[in-house]
Amino acid sequence: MKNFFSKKSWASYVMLGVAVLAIVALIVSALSAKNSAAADDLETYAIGDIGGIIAMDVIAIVLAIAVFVIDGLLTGKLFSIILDVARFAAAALLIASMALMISAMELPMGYIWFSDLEAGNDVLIAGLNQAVASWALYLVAAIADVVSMSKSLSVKANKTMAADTVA
Amino acid sequence: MQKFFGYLKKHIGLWRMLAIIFVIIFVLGYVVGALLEANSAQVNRVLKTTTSRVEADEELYATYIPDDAYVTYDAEGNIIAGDTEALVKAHKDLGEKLSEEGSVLLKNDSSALPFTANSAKVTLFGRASAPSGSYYGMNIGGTVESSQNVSLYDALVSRGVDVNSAMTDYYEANASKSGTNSLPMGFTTITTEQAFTPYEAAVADNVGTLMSGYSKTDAGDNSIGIVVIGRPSSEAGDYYPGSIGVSDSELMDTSVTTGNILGFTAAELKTISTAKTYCSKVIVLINTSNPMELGPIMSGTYEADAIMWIGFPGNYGFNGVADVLVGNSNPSGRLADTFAMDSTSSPAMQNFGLYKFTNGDKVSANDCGSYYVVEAESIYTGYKYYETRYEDSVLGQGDASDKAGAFASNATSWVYDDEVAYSFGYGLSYTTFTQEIDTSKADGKGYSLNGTTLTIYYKVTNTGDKDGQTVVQVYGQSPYYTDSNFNHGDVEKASVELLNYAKTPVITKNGTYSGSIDIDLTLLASYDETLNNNAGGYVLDNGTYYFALGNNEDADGAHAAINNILGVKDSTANLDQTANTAAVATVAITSDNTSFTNTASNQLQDADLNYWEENDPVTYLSRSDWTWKGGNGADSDTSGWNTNMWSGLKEVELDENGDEVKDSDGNPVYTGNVLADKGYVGIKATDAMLTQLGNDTYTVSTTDDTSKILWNQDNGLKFADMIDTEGNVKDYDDESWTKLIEELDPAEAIGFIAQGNRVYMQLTGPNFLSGTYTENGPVGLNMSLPSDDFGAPWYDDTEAGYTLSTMGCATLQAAAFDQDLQQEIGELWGNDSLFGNLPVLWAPSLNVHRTPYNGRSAEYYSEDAILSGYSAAGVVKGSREYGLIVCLKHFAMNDQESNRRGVAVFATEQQMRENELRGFQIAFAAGALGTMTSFNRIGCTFSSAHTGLISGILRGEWGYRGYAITDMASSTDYFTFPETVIAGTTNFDNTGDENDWGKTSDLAKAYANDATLMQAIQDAVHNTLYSFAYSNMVNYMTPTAHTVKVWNWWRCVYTALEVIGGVIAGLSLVAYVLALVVPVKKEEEA
Repeated sequence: MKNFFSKKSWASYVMLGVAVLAIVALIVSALSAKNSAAADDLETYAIGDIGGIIAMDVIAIVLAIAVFVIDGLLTGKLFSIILDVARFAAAALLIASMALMISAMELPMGYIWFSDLEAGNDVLIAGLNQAVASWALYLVAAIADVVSMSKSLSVKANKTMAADTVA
Repeated sequence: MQKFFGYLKKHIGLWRMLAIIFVIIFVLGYVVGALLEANSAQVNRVLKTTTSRVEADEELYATYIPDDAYVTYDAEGNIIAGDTEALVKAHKDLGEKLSEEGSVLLKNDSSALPFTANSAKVTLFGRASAPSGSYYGMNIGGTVESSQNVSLYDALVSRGVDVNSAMTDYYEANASKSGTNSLPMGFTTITTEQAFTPYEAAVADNVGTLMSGYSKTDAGDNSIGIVVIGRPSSEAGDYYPGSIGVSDSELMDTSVTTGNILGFTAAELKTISTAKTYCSKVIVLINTSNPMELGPIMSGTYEADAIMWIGFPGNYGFNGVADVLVGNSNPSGRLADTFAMDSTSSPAMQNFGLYKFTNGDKVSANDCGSYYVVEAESIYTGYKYYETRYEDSVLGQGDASDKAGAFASNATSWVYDDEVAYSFGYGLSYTTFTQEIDTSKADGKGYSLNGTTLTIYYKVTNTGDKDGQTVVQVYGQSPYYTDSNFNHGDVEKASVELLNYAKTPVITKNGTYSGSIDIDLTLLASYDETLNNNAGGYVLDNGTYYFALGNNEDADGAHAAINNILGVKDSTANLDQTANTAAVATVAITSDNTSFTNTASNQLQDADLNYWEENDPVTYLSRSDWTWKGGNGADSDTSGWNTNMWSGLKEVELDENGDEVKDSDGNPVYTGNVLADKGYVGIKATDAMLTQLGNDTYTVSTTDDTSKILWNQDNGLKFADMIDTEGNVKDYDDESWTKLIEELDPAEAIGFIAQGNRVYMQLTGPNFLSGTYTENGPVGLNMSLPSDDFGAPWYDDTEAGYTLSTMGCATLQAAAFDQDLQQEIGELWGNDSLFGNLPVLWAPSLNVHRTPYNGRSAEYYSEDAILSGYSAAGVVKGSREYGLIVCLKHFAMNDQESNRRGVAVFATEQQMRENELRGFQIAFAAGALGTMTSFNRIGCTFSSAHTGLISGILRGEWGYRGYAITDMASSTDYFTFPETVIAGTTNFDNTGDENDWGKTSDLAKAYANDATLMQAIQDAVHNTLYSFAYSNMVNYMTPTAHTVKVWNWWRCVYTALEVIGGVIAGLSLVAYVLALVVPVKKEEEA
């Protein structure tokens, strides 16, 4: 077990952090979706894409965890490329989730931030606030992923690590 | 190359990072850009940017131009500059004038008013007296820009009044409290949290110190206390009566008041009491739109020396209020609503609020058809109830004096003076006037009859010692027979109805003024559903008519009018006022001396619940039985009046079978909604009703021959060809319109109809340019003067950012009883539209104040449709000259905000036609070219899809040709496309041409073989373009006009993000791939 963790580079630990952030973002997005749908009887503000957002988030989480697990465990150029692609995909999925959550809040933003039409709708306001929190979480997770991308993973141990980091 | 690839390989981590970073930047740019473009109209307004401009070979902005007062010309007569400073000054002047003319003096004992500016020591009391506590406008819907407000304090100081700044500072510091003074509201439904939490600041602990120099001890008779009491008004909110309407009943002093939230709270009474303790005279200003219960301050412990209703004065109206208070202006406003002693005493209040069909859960939430309200009061809204019952109580008819329906405490009978504080049309002046029919005219009769136009000649004498204006109100009474002579079924008749009015010019003291008013007798016709073998129609009964001026030595208004009439009808009648019989013209009207013909037939029978349900469950109020036996679900021999205080019914949760859900203890589970507990509760929708409430009632044909309905024709016509350079528009039936519409593609036409939320899409063939063309609201254009130069020669950025919605609320406008003033308002808004470059205004609003509890009251004029109609007509006439299309709304019967989205409104056709629709009819006849339909249903049918209302009455009987847009569609499914368009509605207040109905191209295919629908689609576009042709958008819709994209800063930013992000991401990805796959000899050898 100790060996398992000792072979991991700092970048893969960052990816673990990405996974944690993405999990939190998923929970917050789900809460936002729940409140948005409950904001009125007609579910006017329901997030229609929440299924897709959750799916992408879950895939991003799986990818991030996979990166963490595989790094150091399976090495070689092929796995290095795989982990690069996985990290790239995870970041893209997180940003896509964020983008969809922003789009989903178009009406609430207008009604709450730029008018008073839903000023008394505490449920919707909570939903919007949670959505904003999810955007921040997705963005931070994506940025962390980007930072992790500065380092190649799962190359042959110790040999080319220095050469593969950002100059 | 090896070096290059080596470099790439060495920095592979960098390419990885750059690729993902710039993919993120690209995505952010794309998403933000899409959001900004989709909401560009609102974004432009907030960020003061523009996204497009119009260019053309022809001269632009030449057809409609502002008033000379707002522009400068060169020697050749061309406009070279605009003057927005003058425009802003016009707003200030008109706002001030409106409050001078619209504020209503209700009580003025001991000449408390006016006070002398330079000797009075004035203290303002109450949180609503503070600059940030007063209600200048609505909370939502008719808001005003707070930075432009002139407070009561500043207004008085500017008039030279010494105002107690210490007390004002105290109230300013305590003007608001979080969670209070907000209406219970919801955009779609009002369910939980229906209680209003009132807040009035506590009396200052050191009030004695704060009053130093201003108390009666220090200032004697010059010590004046002005207490301001306010209540908010808002879209999407209602008040509720009784215990459910106040969050904490302890806040009300029920030993003095009824406990209803439209009465004074204990804290407000304490404030008044404090003012009385410290000041010689106390004036109470009522800063509301909703009529309040004023009994406690009319007499007794909390009696005020003077009471004045000021409505919501807008940005500048307190200047006018101050002028009235100090005597610079003589008040001439008259109440636009009845102020009852108990605000729940009208019959309409027996059916107000949330009513759910017992099987309402069978209607899907998206169909919005679970709730209803039965307007069982018949025509007896507002003063029509109180004054009619009064006449019958005097004449001993219909059990009018019975205790049933009496809300006065300890009442043993219904007595008008116990039920009404101030009647509709009431108002005092600083002088006195007498009015009489001028019998020196028209061969001694004082009136002349020509067809259905009756001209009344009047004379007004100023019998007081101050110059002043007054209002001449003409009321009419048609014959009502209580014996078998009366052959018109269930036709009800009010004893008195306002028919027209005029504001006199200023009459000097002891002076007289003579004038005349034309009365349209068709406004007095009754609607009889049984006429002509149940075909229905209007009838002007043969018989004796009375036309009375609403003035006698005791009062002005509807009550004065009915007393004057009674004085003529029965000189021995026991009246509560001294009748002015000289103010009454008695006219025999028969079919021999009028040209009245019926032009209507039944169109709204399905609005009556009795139409749907067996055994006629609804007993409408009738003047033949004021006890309302059988009404509101009571037994046929029991009075249907419920005078108990509201407590509400908790809505029980039902399962899918309609059975009550019970908890583990067997108790019902409540949803959180509070339903009304009186009136027609517990109605079960029949199967036929459920079908209609489900909305999709039209079956699209797939087999019609639509070959004669042409599309995509190349007829070479442009929208601009329909208008000449002087603004004259081709006749509606001109063939050119048909040929123009035939140039459209059906998907394009459907998209144009579907998308009407401010931004209208381009129509390619006709060269109708896309743009932002519409905006709300009831107190002016809800926008700021633009900072972007849109190319008009009068463009002036001196006052850029000035918010144009400045006017006092609609109720205040109506209370001025001045049609010329309304026209001035329309003219100002017309000029605003030219400086703001906005041609269509979704205002004014004409729904009647059916009850005092409508939270949106300030947006509507009055309980009376005639006053509403003529008020709106003035705005229509004034605005047309400048090419502003005003849209009368909400058509029709949007009489409460509670469940406005889809609530099924049940009423008799007589009630609808004679009350609310009559007001709309007057305003449409004045030339209105736009309307917005309502959220609610007429009966079980969505109003916008109600063929009888839109096609039958609006377009059929009234001959309306023009734009008719729904209220905000959002994603609500009950706004169904085929039904709505076939009914005659032309646009949906929706964003984007794709919505819940699907892609427009798919809809075009689906409708391609439905002749009725395809023709309706063409008619809808025709109607919209016809209205728009009269608007000032033609200033830039010339034959060669085209829109040019403007690259404003945010457009540049998000585009740059996309481009840079995309390019660098792409290059980085390429570099990364190359670094991976291209072998570098040195590395491999190592």
